[in-house]
Amino acid sequence: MVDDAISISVIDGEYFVFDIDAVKRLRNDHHIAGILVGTLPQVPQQSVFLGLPVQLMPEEAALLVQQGVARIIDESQSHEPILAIDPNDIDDATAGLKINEIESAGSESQGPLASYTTPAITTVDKLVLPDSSVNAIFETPRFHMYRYLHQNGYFISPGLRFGSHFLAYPGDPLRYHSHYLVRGVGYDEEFSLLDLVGSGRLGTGVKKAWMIGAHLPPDQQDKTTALRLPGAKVGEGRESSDEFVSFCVEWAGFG
Amino acid sequence: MASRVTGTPGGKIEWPFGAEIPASEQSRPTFGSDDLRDKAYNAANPQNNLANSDIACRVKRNLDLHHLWTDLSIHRVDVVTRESLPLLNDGQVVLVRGRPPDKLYSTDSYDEHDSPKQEWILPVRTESKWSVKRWVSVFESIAAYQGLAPERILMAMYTDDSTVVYYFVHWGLIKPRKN
Repeated sequence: MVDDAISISVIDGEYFVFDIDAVKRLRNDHHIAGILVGTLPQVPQQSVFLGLPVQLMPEEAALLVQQGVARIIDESQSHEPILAIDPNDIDDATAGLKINEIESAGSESQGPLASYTTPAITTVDKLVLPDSSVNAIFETPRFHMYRYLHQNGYFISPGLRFGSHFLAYPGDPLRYHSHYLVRGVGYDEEFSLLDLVGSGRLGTGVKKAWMIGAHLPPDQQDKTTALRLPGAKVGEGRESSDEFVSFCVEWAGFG
Repeated sequence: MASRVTGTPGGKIEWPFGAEIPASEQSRPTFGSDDLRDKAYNAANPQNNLANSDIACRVKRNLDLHHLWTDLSIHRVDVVTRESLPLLNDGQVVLVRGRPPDKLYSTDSYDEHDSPKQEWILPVRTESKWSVKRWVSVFESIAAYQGLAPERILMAMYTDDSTVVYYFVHWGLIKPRKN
């Protein structure tokens, strides 16, 4: 594990990143945007201006662990040392955690609040969960689909707004509309054709395609090579890989 | 159209086309013969009820009369990976092939005769289930049938209420269409 591994906190089975530098790295180097979910303690109902932490999908956390970029921190365990502090010593304890507040302030105009950072809990080894804690995610059809799109350079966000697993963007979601409503399935998994009709029509209506794909079982992986079109145009220079097969569904424009 | 069905509310409706269907309409070669052949075929193969051969000719007729496609034909294509299409007992899938009246995508190219290119249509019932494996099997079977894998097929979803809807299924990732 490299020293600059990104710490992903798991809280109640959900994955969060609290460090703004890590969030920048994820976005710039790993094209993972995540979702800002932090609101203001004084105005917890507002959802217009959201800040840290960034919540990651389980697939994102699992992929980052698989690539050795991140490690998973058990946040509930990290609360134990703090809860164990004797209330009488609370001032000493907070003084010990005391915030690298004013030092980095730099500019007077912003004041101390601007440079306030959440006190960083020292990451001791026992709070780091083993990489195997995300193993269960690896074999899901959603993860295979996520990894396939991520390898192809897409930004991926949750797809609930369009009733799918993911939305895939050709670049940063701040600059691009998404291209695909994405659903990951097992190679043999049956889905209803009414799903295809509904999602296909919705996707075409919002200028997207409904994309569905599956990880190929090892004994089937010669098929895509055999079916690869000689010299055919492939959308955006990408096509199904040897391990993964995908289809894009769009309304035909009639009927 | 010049002639219309006319009539007054509660009155007699006049049928503008005369009592007899013209002979030219009775023997439309584009669907009549296939219709008969498929009926005979299905009668001879009662286990084939779940197969798509009976709806293939209805889809073909819909394309012909409603959407004005041309060069329509019905193809029995041997399924390469048979276990992936359990609904076909005869080891074949029935596909329709035809030419749309105009390009279906603005980015499509015309063939050497300046006509839109022919498309493969896979007729299915709306209530049936589908899987990625079956699509792979259909693309694979078409590739074996014509010696070239198609870039895309049209899936025709047929319901008993006379609605037919058509969806493109593209192999791999494509850029979404510009409307």
